[in-house]
Amino acid sequence: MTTDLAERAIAGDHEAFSLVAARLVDRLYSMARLILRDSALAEDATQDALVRAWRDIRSVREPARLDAWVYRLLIRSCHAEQRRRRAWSTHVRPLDIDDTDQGRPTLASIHDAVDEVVNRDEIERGMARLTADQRAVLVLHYFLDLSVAEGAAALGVPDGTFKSRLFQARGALRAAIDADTRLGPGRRAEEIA
Amino acid sequence: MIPEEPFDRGLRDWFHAATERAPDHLLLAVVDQTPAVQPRRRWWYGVASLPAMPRAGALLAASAVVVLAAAFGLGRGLPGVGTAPATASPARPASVDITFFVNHRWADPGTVVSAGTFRAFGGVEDEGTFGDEIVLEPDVSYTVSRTLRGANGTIVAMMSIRSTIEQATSETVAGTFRIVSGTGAYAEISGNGTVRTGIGPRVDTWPTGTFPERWLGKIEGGTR
Repeated sequence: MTTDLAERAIAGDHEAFSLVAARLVDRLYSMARLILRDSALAEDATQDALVRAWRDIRSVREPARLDAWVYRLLIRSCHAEQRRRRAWSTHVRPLDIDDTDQGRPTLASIHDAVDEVVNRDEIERGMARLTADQRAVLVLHYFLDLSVAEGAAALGVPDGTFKSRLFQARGALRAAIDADTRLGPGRRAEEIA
Repeated sequence: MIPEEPFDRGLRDWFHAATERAPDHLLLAVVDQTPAVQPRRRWWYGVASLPAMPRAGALLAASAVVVLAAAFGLGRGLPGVGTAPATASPARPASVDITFFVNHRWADPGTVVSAGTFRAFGGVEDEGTFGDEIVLEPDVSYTVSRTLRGANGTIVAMMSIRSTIEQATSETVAGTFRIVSGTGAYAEISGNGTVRTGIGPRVDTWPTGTFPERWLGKIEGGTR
């Protein structure tokens, strides 16, 4: 985003803000979909974040960080949507990571398989097992390609905290994918049923 | 030990493939709703310039702020999703949906000729041709004056649009329009809304070529 456009929006120019919103809306909606895993909730969160952005636009001190500030509002709106619908933990399932199961592939061999190809469906299912907080950290890092410092700024936490959350979220996703691979299609279908 | 890079690369590819286009009505709802929301003033400038107060005075001032906030702010909240504006407008604007088939071509260096056909539904029921006057801004944004010539009159609108290249194969051109004048049946027309252009993957040919464009908005003084 050009600094000029951001400065105009921050000064309260609604036309400039509309352009900022038009430029960001696809990215924000995609983020919300990834975090909330629901189109309707994602729409509500995106709209809420953009309206809040306009209401508080004059509080932005650095035009260059306007995008990061809006991402932060979106993540807050996603949390609010989750709380509102009381669905915060409905997708979270405890994982049984055990390397001693008989007759099933070992964890080491599964890790090898994961390294060879990270199947899209596996990632999709793995994401479903994470909390919205964990998904938000992964979205900032892997979807927006934010560095640790940028991601920390977007969440409003210290760099070390963001790094730790990213490490944990990544580990949880990996464990979820591993568990999914261990179950195999038959067990997976049983568990889902 | 598991090597990290293949997993991270797969993850990044998966996330990048997850980009979705937001529904058109979402941006329209934001553009429609925000004018009724007054941006808040920067309050900390005043606070920062206050002289240091004694502890009791600071507590008293803080209490006063809380009382004032309770008196004026409590229950008002944010005009959020689905919340009606504080003041109802006397006439309800009608929704309008206009699809354009835009033909762009370079004329002279730095000049784009743009024209085509349109079809409008909703608050305006009409079809015809249009022509653009385009000003290319240095920051990949465009200011466009568009004249629609329909069976019932003409409509002149200003568009502000920006082009955003998200990845090598996709480009988003989006922005807003505002109707500035009209003739014939549209002499009293006014309105605004959002613009989305479906350029798709032909990023290498932009801005030359034919592509669809859609306006969604609210108008008053149309043909219905």
